[in-house]
Amino acid sequence: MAIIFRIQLMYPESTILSGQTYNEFITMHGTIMLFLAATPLLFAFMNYMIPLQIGARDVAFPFLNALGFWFFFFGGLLLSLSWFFGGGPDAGWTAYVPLSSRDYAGIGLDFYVLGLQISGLGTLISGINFIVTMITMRAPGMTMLRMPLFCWTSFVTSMLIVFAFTPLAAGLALLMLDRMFGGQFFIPSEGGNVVIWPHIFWIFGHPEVYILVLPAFGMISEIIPVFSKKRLFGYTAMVFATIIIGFLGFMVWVHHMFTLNLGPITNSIFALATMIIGIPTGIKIFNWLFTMWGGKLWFTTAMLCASSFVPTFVLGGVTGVMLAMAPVTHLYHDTYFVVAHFHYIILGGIVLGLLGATFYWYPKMFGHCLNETLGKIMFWIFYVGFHLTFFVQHILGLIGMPRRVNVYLADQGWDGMNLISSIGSYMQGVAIIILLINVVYSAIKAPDKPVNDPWDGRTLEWATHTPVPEYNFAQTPQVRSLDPLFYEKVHGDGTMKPAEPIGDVHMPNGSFYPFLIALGSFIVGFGLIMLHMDAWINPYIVVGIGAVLMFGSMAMHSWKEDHGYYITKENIEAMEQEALADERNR
Amino acid sequence: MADNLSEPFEKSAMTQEDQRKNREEQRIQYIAFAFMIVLTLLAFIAVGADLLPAAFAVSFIIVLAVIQMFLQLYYFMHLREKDHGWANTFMVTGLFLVIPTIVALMLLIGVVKY
Amino acid sequence: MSETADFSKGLPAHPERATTEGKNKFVGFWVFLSGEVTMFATFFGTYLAFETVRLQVLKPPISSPCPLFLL
Repeated sequence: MAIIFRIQLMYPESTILSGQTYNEFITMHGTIMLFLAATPLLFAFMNYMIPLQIGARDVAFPFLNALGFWFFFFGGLLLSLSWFFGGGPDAGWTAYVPLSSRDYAGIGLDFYVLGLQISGLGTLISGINFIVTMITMRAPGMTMLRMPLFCWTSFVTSMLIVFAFTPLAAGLALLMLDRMFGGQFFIPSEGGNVVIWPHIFWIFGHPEVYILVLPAFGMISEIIPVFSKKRLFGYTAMVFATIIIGFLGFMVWVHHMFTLNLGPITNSIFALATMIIGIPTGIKIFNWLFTMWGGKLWFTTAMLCASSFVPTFVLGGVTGVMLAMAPVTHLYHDTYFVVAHFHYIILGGIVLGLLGATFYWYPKMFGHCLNETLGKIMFWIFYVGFHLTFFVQHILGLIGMPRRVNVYLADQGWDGMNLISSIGSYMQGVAIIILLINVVYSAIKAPDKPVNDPWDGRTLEWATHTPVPEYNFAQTPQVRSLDPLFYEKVHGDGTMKPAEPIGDVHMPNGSFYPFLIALGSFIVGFGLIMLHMDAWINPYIVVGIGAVLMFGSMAMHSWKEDHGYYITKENIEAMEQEALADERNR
Repeated sequence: MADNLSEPFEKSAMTQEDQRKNREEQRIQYIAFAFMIVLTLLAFIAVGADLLPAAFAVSFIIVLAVIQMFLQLYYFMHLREKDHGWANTFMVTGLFLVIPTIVALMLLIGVVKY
Repeated sequence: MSETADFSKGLPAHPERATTEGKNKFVGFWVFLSGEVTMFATFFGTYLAFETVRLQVLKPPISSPCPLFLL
């Protein structure tokens, strides 16, 4: 989708996309990328790695985990269905109200509201699940301040989810009342107030940025020490910087609204608060640099992504501080400068973190490495393409190109740079295709090179077998230090000491109810949208069917007791023997 | 074996110490409950008696509501007991984040600009 | 704990498992509640914001609280 924009903007006065389609595309690009691409990719890593890194058998609530996933899935499905029912939402991913009220926005926005409501519920459930996992399920000796930094950032992220997705749910509920049932919260002619929506949206929206970027910080903080052969510099400072970023993330939402005429004192306070966030972020940047300083650097693809993350993120941060200056923001507002800024954070921060984490954890997840040569080719194409795309957008913004436009006139000095920008975006597309080829290629080559701990890992996830057995750890490990596996490699015999005798392991049963509950919520949402469609069936019947399905499956789950099952001691011993034999053969 | 389950126990399995603590707990809960009812009555009287000016009455009953909320959380939902450290942390964090937000919303939406 | 263990096939290997689950539910419940704090704060905040606007625009010299509560 992003590539289609750039085709559109490659030459002046292009007519590939009409204004309406372009609006729908930018809205869906923002919404899908933030809610339905970045979030689940990060959550996938969190879900896989957190139990392993803290030495737990599973997350705290396996049932809720599945429920969260299915809610999320059906929310995304509902949002995407909008393409087939009269066009996508077209009010921008922020859905500011006069534009997103019934008078101006079509039925696509109903899909936006309900899709996000349902998928937000799924995200919230996962967030609660992660918090509880990290509070109650840590292995013996794994104190809070011995948790790997990825766990810490995920912990703060989950807290942000709990505290930020709930205001979003409230705001979306208000917008839903406005659109579906004739409410007047955001309609000025009937006593409403349009400014409340941006407030509520950004009270959620700014923490959302940190929800996305903090796990990426955590991934970088995992990758850099491993490939520098040094422990993370200033671990405690990193943890507290993370917490402070999390807190401050809630205190700065007005900096998205400087041009809404909120008054000088307000703007000054929030500009200052925004700049203060630069301090903990700076602490993090310097800690990464000092971790690499004097380390024995090993530039694999993962490390390339992680180390290039640092300067790229600094660029994004610097433009962020520039944007934080309230008076100057009036110049930058709604130009490509802003676009360049947040793409430097999101692509240069989150996507590079994700790519690095993919290459770093791939052997743990699938038992074989991704091909390094292809990986490096991919990295360089991506990195060059990324800077080509977005660096010129800084300049484009400064010379006045507004964002969210689908055509521009020739001879304003914008033509050449738009062309460069478009070429850069194709390079990124090529890089992602190379990554996909790499996955297939490595999978075909995999049986030749099975690996167990290819990077000389430091944290607990490398201490168990690859592929990970369903009980994660046969015996819960005893943690003796930060970077527990590395400690055992240096001071012990390289394997984790068990904290309990080998015994039966309790496992949850698989369950079909999460799917049914989420399907029910999906039908309810669709029924509500049908209120404003020319439907052949009474929408309230659909809502009723969905509600019965949802609450019925909830009730079934509650009343039918399910105690799970045990993997017996003998089975575990057999599986352990098998895994060990498998490893010796490598 | 299952036949004698419905028979009453002769003696409680709890120790004397546990029973004493239980009674103490019960007493505290009664007191808290009575106090909450008094607060509710006060709120009704403050409005119903029609003696206080509106601005004062509204802020007064909001203060009462906040007191009631903390009583509820700390006494009836046992938040004051030990082992509730994380629960406390999260509730306090939530309030800590929310109070500036509400204050800001009230100040910023108004016609008066700061 | 609502989770009643099924001991018909003998004692579980880890009787403390039941307590962990209880603890999980306990912490999860409070985390959820703290999330609700922010959600309802948003609703209250919206209401209070409207109320502020109303007071600033109308400036009504209400002397009795009764009309506010439709008494």
